[in-house]
Amino acid sequence: MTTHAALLFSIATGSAEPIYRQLVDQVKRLVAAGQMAPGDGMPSVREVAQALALNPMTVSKAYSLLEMEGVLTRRRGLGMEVAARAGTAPGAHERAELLRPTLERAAMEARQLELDSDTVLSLFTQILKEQA
Amino acid sequence: MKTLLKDYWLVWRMALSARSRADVLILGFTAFLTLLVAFLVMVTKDDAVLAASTALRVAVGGAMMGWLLYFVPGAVKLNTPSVACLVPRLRRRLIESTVLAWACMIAFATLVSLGTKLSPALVLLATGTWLAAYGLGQSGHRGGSWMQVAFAGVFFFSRSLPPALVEGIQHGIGFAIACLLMLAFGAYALQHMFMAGGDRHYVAREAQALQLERTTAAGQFKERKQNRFDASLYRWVLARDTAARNSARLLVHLLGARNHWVNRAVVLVSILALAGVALFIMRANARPDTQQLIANLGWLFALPLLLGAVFDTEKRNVRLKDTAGEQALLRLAPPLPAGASAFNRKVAVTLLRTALLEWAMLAGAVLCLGMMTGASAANLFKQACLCCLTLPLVAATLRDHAHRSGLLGWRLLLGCALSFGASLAVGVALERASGLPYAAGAALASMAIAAVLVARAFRRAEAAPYAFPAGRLA
Amino acid sequence: MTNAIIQSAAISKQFGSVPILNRLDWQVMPGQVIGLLGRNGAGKSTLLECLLGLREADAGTVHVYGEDVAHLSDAARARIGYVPQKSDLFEWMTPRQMLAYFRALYPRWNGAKVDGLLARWGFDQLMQNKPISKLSGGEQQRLSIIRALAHDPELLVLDEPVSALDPVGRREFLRELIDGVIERGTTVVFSTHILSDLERVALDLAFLKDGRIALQGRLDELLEGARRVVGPASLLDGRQLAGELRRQRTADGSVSVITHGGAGLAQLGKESGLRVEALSLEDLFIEVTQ
Repeated sequence: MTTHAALLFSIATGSAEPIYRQLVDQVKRLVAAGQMAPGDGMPSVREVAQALALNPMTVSKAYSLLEMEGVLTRRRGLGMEVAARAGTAPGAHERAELLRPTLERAAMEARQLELDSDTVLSLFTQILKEQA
Repeated sequence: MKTLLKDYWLVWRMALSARSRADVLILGFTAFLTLLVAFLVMVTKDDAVLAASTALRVAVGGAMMGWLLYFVPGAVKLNTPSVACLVPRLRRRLIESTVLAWACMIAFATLVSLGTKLSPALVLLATGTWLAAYGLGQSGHRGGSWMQVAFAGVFFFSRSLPPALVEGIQHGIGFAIACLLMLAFGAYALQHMFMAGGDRHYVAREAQALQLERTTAAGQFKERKQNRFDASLYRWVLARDTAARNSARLLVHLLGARNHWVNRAVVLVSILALAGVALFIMRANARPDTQQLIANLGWLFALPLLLGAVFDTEKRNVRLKDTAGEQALLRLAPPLPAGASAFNRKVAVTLLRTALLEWAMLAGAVLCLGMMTGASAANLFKQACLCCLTLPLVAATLRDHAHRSGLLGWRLLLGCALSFGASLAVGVALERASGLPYAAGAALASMAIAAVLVARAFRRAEAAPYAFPAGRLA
Repeated sequence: MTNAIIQSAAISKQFGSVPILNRLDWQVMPGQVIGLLGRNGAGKSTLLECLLGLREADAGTVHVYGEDVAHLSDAARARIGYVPQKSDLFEWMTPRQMLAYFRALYPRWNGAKVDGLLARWGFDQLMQNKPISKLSGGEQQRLSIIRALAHDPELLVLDEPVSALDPVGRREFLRELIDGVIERGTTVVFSTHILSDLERVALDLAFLKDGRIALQGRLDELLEGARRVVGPASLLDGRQLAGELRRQRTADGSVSVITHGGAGLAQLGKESGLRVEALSLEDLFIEVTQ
């Protein structure tokens, strides 16, 4: 039941992704990886805005979006906290969905390089073996 | 050899390009001077050959001098620290071309003086020293301009120098020593004009920039650095005005620290004190007829103070043009009136009040000087009336600042001349008509002119767009 | 739209024969934090000056707080803070004197905030008593910002406020903007070239090009919607894409189209031969303002 510090997050300017979306994706990844457990407190909007030098509305938008998607819940008077999930660990399916943006980028590059799917898949399997 | 000549030619063109159309100016002026001299010689001596030869000398000498006068400041400007250290050969070429130009000029001057009654040796020494002093002056050397003035002084008052010395340096050992001194001075000047980097060079560049600014028309009137006493006085005045929250007084601060009337009052009082002491000493020790002379001519001392009124007006005009950024901030400050006509009226009233205050101080100073020189009451009255002649100047800062800003220049002088002339004419006419002294009549006429001008300026201010920021619709 | 803080309609301005602003319409709503972008010389400073009434527009009207900028009342002016591009103003005064001068001109003045900012932004006693002309460009700019913030304005207009500041200075400025200004609901309009700062702090953007606001909207939406579609001329020529902004022929004969209708372009990405790329703010700036 820890309250996380705002330093947990980082954003990059100059990318094609809006900052609020970067925050949303980061929180989702942290929750999926288990670094943020259900019931953990989130840093307040103000803290995050100050730490990252962001407009509080951007942070607030990210939090609202996460709340709508059920990743975070709002506790009265105590700010945001990580939502409890029906199953304790996020399913493989949800985690796989988080990998989708990276894989889509890789797929686009593969198409540009005019590689067929078999070559790409065997390369990916090889990399996974190396990393394991 | 060819690259050497090409380098010199390049350096020459680069230095001259600092002033646009320098060639046209030089040639035009030389042509004019040549024709004038030829004409004068023909008229006075009626000798065509003499006229032609003199004209030739003037033409060549004038052209050389003109080019030199433009080349030296341009060359100094070219010698920035980075250029001097990093561009190959440039500094060396600058020095070499300057030396060549100086040598040519000295040689020409000496040759020309061979046929005349001027001593060639003296001419040689004089030309060399003056050229070096000019170079120093143009490079922002603190003593440079003073040296030029001192030099001119020595030249004009050469009669008062001991004749033995003057004779001695024209021949033999004396001449050799004098030449060596001149060469040493020249070397010193060159070394200061064309430095080769280092902290000194950067400091010198700042001085050069200031120097160059002073030679432009507007640069004359820009604010200089304050000394400690002025600064502490201004600090007190500013603190007092900010505590009072009086927007009119705060507006006056736009005119800068040195131009604030409190500072000027102090300056005037100190000048008066010094003059008073000097005059007292003179009067105490002088003979009665000298005293009388001082009393009668005392008003001549006051003339420079009156010219100060013209200077003041131009200073205010330049100041208002330069502070456009500050004026933008003041436009957005709450206490100043909304609406263009109310705003303009406030600005006009403030400027008028400042101008009148400064005029009153100048007039008071003139009268004090007059009293200290022991002038008679009639003389004092005449001086007071002469002061009134400069009253129309207070209207010169009340302009449509949005459209017109910056120096008035010749327009101001023309206006002054017209005003003076008209007032004096009216004064003389009144004297003839009614026996009123012409000075009083002229003063009354000036006051009337001033009133008319001020009224017209206020009417114009009502209809004009916002005065601040100045010059944006120019 | 009647409660817009700044409302400008059909502003035109030209310098000599060069038109700088060309029938420009723009609104700034209360609480917006809006960044004005444009090339050098596009007229950002001129636009900001016209919006505050410091320059007269040749045509068109501007209203701030419902009042015509040619006749701003005292109350309206007390709510406006302005940081001009030129920061060496009142250079014969010292920082302390200059701030005291402005305190005498404004009804509301937050002395505690001023002292805090002076201390945090590196103005020690010695520097506070040096004439402003002797300060460096960055110090002068920081002082200019402090002066504008000192009277707690409700509308803050900044013209390239951080051009001379190092990254630490810029970060400090952003922090102050977030804590002391945005949190209080102040409306902020600023022009800058430093896009990273803009991305952090601005919620809305407006691009000034050819004397008009060429593109404006929420920053997030602009980034999410903007796409570059690249493909051979055979596929793209003569085909109008949704929200198209700009079309350009590249050196090798293919065509590059910048569009704004991001969502609807997902289909295009699947067509072989066409490439759909997302754009960063810098890319968007370059494409829109060229």
